Amino acid sequence: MSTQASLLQLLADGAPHSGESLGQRLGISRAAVWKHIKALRDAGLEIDGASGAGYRLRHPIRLLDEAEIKAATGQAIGQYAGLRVEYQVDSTNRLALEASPPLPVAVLAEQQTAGRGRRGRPWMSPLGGALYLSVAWPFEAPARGLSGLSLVAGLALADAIEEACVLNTRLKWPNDVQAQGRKLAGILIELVGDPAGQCRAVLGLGVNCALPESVAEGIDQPWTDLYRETGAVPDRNRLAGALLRNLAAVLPVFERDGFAAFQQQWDQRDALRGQDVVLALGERSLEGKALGVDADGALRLQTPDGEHRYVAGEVSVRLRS
Amino acid sequence: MATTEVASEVTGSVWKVELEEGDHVDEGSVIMILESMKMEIPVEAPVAGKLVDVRVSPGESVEEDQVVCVIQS
Repeated sequence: MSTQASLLQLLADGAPHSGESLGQRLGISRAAVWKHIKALRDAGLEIDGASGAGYRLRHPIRLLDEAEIKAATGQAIGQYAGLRVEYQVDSTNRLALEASPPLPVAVLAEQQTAGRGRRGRPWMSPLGGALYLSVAWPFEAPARGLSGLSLVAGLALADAIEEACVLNTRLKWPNDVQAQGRKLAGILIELVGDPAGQCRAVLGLGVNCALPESVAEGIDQPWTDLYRETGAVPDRNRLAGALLRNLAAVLPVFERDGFAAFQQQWDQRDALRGQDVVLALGERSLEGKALGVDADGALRLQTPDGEHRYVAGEVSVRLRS
Repeated sequence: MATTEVASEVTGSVWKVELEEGDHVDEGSVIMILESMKMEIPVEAPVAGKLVDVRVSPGESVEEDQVVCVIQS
């Protein structure tokens, strides 16, 4: 474990620790402690205090722990060929895309230096402030058979959050997880085919746990995190375990029966149904009433010239003027 | 010379086109990336050759089985 990671582990309890005691436990000078504290602050952690008075993490965090994640996943851990828990990576999705077989493989990290969002957008990934989990899952079907995968992953994520954090969530098509209309978690799926017609889907899941204000300023939409919603420090190991268990349960069913098997459950969490929405499609945008999703997971919209189905685009609730 | 039409596997929209007409492609080269329900799906060259026709541009909608480009080899 790096010195920075060890320092974070000492601070994780949220209690004050003097520079001297930290230095002693890590076997480094007080000046070196100060340097590492600065690096942690630069990485987005809110650390109060100074060397004399003691350093204190403003929000205690629970660090990712492989053994705890495995225990929280339960028997379903047996369905995974590999689990990697890292301190810092560039992108968990990249590692999952490049992971060698056998699959499925799950990759988690405390921090991403180049977290990927949709369409190459950066995904804010402060140290310890969120759960970053990417799963590489093999499918026998080519990409055309995977319509609706995105929605099924969203459902597994919403269920895991509800189970591990006791929080009601809804889904905004295709798979943003919302609490009170604000984005709490997002998913990016990258598919790679192989010549044999099989397919690797990499599901990158990001859940906001306790985002520092400094990072939050850079987010361009209404957002929230588990700490703000529940008032408690989220147990990311428990959440990761619930998520790995749910994915292992739903993905084989999805591969066999398609999205139709999940449509009813999805409907119950649909945040848009019955709302007037705007769908942005590249340069164009159109308005309509959201009617829910069809058996393939496409968004149904009632527009002035009838009902249409959409599989692409960015949807938002229309504000009443 | 053989021509190979490359079709989209999914209904969705074109996110970005990585190569241009006239470019050489190897088998497995990513020609463009499509997006469908927040999944990013690469369109890969099934054969090596020269990309002679790119029929879609970013932002455009594509249907399943629609020919999106042509390779000559």
